[in-house]
Amino acid sequence: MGMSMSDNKIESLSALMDGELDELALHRTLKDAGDSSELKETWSRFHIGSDAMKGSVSDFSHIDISGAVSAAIEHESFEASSSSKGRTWLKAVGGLSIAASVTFAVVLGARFNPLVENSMDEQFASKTQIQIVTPESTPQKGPLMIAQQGSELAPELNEVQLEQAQERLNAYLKQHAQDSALGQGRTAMPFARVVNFETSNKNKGN
Amino acid sequence: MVRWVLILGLISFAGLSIAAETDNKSALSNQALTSEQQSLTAQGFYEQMLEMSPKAMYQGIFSHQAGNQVQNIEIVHGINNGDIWERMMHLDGPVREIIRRGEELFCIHPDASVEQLQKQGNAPFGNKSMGSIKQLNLAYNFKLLGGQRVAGRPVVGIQLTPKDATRHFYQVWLDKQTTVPLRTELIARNGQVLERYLFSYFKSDAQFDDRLFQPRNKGVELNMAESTEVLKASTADILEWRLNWMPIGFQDQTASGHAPKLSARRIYSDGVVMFSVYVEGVEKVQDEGTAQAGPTALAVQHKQWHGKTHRITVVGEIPAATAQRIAESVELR
Repeated sequence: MGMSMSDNKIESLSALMDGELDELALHRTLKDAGDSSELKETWSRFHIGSDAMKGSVSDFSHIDISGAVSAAIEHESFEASSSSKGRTWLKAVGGLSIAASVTFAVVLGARFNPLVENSMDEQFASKTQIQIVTPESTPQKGPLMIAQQGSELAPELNEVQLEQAQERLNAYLKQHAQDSALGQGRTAMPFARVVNFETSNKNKGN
Repeated sequence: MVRWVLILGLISFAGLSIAAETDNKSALSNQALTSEQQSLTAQGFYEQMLEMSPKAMYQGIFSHQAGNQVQNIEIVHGINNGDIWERMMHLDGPVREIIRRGEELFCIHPDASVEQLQKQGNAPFGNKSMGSIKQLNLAYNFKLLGGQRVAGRPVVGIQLTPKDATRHFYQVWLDKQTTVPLRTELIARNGQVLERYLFSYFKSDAQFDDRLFQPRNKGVELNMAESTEVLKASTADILEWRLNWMPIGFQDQTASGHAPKLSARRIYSDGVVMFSVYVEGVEKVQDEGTAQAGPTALAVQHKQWHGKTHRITVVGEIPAATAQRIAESVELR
């Protein structure tokens, strides 16, 4: 049984669990785990084991990482194949010179499914196909994170409109981060969420 | 009459003590008491953190991880005449600083310009006690994760497990000496870590040292700051609105005196995370939907009221579906 799974991978899993892996390794391990049910099981076992050692069994023990795995894999294939429906839209976003800091695109015309109280769990379970695309993660540009919900996109916004939307949402994000930082009264650490804040107000003059 | 009351009292007392006894026995026979004790211990630690960590004096370096983005930030935290003072500096990329003096918050940009984000007396929320154990118990179960080591220091881990699907998991590891959280995580229900703060260096300070809190950017004076207000809604734009739905445990953090009924923005907290709601009149619908930036979800919706379009934006560290549902529940009147 242990033959098919290298100690390396087990070690990676163990490190992953402790949040010790770097991003690349994490990606690889998640991918491995997605390919191998054996690894998945080991993950669960490890997870329970380590929590039990700490004196409690965490609620995460039942969480199947395959969700995260498939998301990670989707992310990869998404970048590689780029045959997704949202492609033109994504391309437009990627082509923008984005001045603002924490930039992300608005999802256009996403379907709003009414959420029913008792089906919340299912709703959340079925909505995990959020695709996060980070073309470049230099600190200067900040993350470009795009969440896409539903598959139908409304008529495209032109670049100016898109930029306006991003700017507006960034302003909200910034305001929220600021209110959170001060509102909880303990530390301004949540302000770290606003990755770059150098240009948002200056660009409005241009 | 008096006798009756007495007898009834005795009966109910006896009944209670019997019930308590059987409860104890069954509790001892299985793990219930242990987990209960663990939960209480976790709550105790957490309460200590709420009480002590804002008053702690320390400096350190932490990494902030959101999505695939990681950045390192230096922090100095202290108390000056009862006010929290803080200085944070981004260590990667262009130099950016955040200076906090009590309720005042300043940003120093890479070009050394200063922006004041929050003015004294202008905070939209009062000093409401936030995140009390009582409030947290509405929405979360407490679990002890046990001892670990972070930044070379012994810590104790606590998990706040959400009681419903409308919010994320929260885990925090507290420094045993100062109760300052040295590692915190916001985790989605699918196990994905949405955000992590993790100290790699931490040093407890014995006393307040003014010099540590001065901007590192040379020649920067905080009184040069220009202030900005994100929302430029005039009173004419603002109408009365309310939320018809939000997850249990969330409370309006808006200070009284800030015209909460007519406010263009309000902020709500469940003690762990916050969400903001913005309501504005707009010319036309431009975009609508949800977006995700690290741990923060955004939902944009439009509603008609008296022939006018209003845009509702919900921003918070909550699942996108929750943000959407909150936005949908906004009632204009």
